[in-house]
Amino acid sequence: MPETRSRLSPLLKWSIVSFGIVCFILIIVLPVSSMFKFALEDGPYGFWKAITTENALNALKNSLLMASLATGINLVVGTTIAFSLTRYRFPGSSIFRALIDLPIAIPASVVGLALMMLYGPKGLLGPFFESNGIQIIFDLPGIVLAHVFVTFPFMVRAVSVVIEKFDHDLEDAAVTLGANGFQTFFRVMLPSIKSGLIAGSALTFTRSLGEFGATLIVFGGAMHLRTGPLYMYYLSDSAFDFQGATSVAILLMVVPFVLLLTVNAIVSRMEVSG
Amino acid sequence: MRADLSLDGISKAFGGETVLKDLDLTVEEGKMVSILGPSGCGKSTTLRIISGLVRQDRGAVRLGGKSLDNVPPHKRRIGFVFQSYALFPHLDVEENVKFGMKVGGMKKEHVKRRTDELLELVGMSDMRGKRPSHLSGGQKQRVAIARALAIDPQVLLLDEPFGALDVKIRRRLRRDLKALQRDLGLTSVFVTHDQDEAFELGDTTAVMNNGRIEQIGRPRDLYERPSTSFVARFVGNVNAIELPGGDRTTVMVRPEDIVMMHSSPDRKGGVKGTLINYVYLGPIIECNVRLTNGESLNVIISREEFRMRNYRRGDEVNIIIRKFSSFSDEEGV
Repeated sequence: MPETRSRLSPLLKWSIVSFGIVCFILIIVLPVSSMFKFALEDGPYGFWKAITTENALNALKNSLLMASLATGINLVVGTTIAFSLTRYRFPGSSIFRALIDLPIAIPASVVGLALMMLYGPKGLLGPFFESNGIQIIFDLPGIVLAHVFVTFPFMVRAVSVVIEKFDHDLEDAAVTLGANGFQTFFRVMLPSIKSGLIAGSALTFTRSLGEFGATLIVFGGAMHLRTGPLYMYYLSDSAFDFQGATSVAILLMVVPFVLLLTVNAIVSRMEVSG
Repeated sequence: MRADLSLDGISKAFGGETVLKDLDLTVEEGKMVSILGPSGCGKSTTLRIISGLVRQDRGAVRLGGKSLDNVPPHKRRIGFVFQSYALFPHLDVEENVKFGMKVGGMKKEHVKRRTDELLELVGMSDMRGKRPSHLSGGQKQRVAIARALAIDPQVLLLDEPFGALDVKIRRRLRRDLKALQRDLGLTSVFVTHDQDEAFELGDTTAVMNNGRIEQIGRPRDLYERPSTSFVARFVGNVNAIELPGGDRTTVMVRPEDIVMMHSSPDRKGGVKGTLINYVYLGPIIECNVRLTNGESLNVIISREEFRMRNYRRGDEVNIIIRKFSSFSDEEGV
């Protein structure tokens, strides 16, 4: 409604705009930029040194590993769930649909505790796995499970959107042209939902890189598995190394940001040429 | 035995709602039957049953006498041109045409040669590298037809293939499609709600209503000797007059089967009426006449006759019905 807007006095208009900008600076820009002061205390070389220590590199490696595993698992699990929710009706499917977003609402630390209560040493299934020589909590499987738990609604959502937009005539056309179920899926459906898979993967990967609460509980001090956010927390909270903490923090901020921008560009180009 | 396509007693219901009722239809090998009917009459469902995309509740689909019912849709080799064309958006024109041959595991050289032939046939060779989103409606249709022909189909099915096109392009594509079908001797079923299309393309036309085929025949049979009141109403224009008396019989009169003259005292016979309005349609004039009993009739006369008699709105006229057909009520609707 441009008419309404143009009727506001210029003074009011500018007051609204500047209030918005000031709030944005106070809430977002200031805290973020203050990190740079600490990270660059000893110049760029200090920053570089902080993010290339053995511990930092290990944490970075772990973060990328967990994010990759969570994304890979979610590509299968999340896509399957997205398919079953959008394409099929089954008893309880509406309840299932309503529960899908729950992981977004559950606090991450609660997720960690929940996993502990199932797979932990005193959990419902933990002792069983342990007696068979399988360690879940305080080890890689537990951390990956936590990451999958908190990220899978993102994959389900992103994939559901493109499946719902999918034109069923394309499937029918493929079948009449002689394609069997597999060929129809891999040659027609999958390419059509590719943008959703990429978008979902990017969201899963970035969310996973930033995961803190659930990981903190299930990692249980297994140092060789410490992820980026946990390492940053350790530096600032226990080692009081603010230069190191802020350097790692900047890395944790920039990597997902660049990743998301790149993927958005790819996806929007795919949609244009689609 | 020739490879005639036949549907025997096909019935289908979706969620308790009957869509097809005991439908019979035969398409001789190499012929094209057009199915003409209003939307929701079950004509698209009929095509989907032939292709195997939808399974009938009762009845059989046969090709050359052999039942197709146990043949899954991807093995039927029945080409389908969708109303939306359903071209694969991630593949270019060439790859769309190749799709059926590739999934069918054909040899590379054969696929290449056949694709070139088909693109040539539909006049799309220059567009082979384009994505569907860059094609016009008519071009998409040509690609969809080439793609369906690529599997060397035993039967070609076309679901309202002109529905999304401009009137001008339609006429040309209609002629092209008919020529193609005739030259290749394709056994085809074509579905439309447009009478002109149905008459031009079909060797015979089946008029469909409420999940049944009401009549099947050549255009002339359908127009001049409709067997049900639905056919009379749906094919061409008609005046429906309910006769006075208890037998509830409806009389159908084509507007061109009415003779109209100025009334004069010495003119006997016929029915009196008033010329309420007329519409100039070029070669013919459509006149609206209100009879003295309040009934309204459409009358079509030639341009010459209209000029010669010098009709004006409000003229008193005399009407004689030359030809009519009558249907008792249970037969119709």
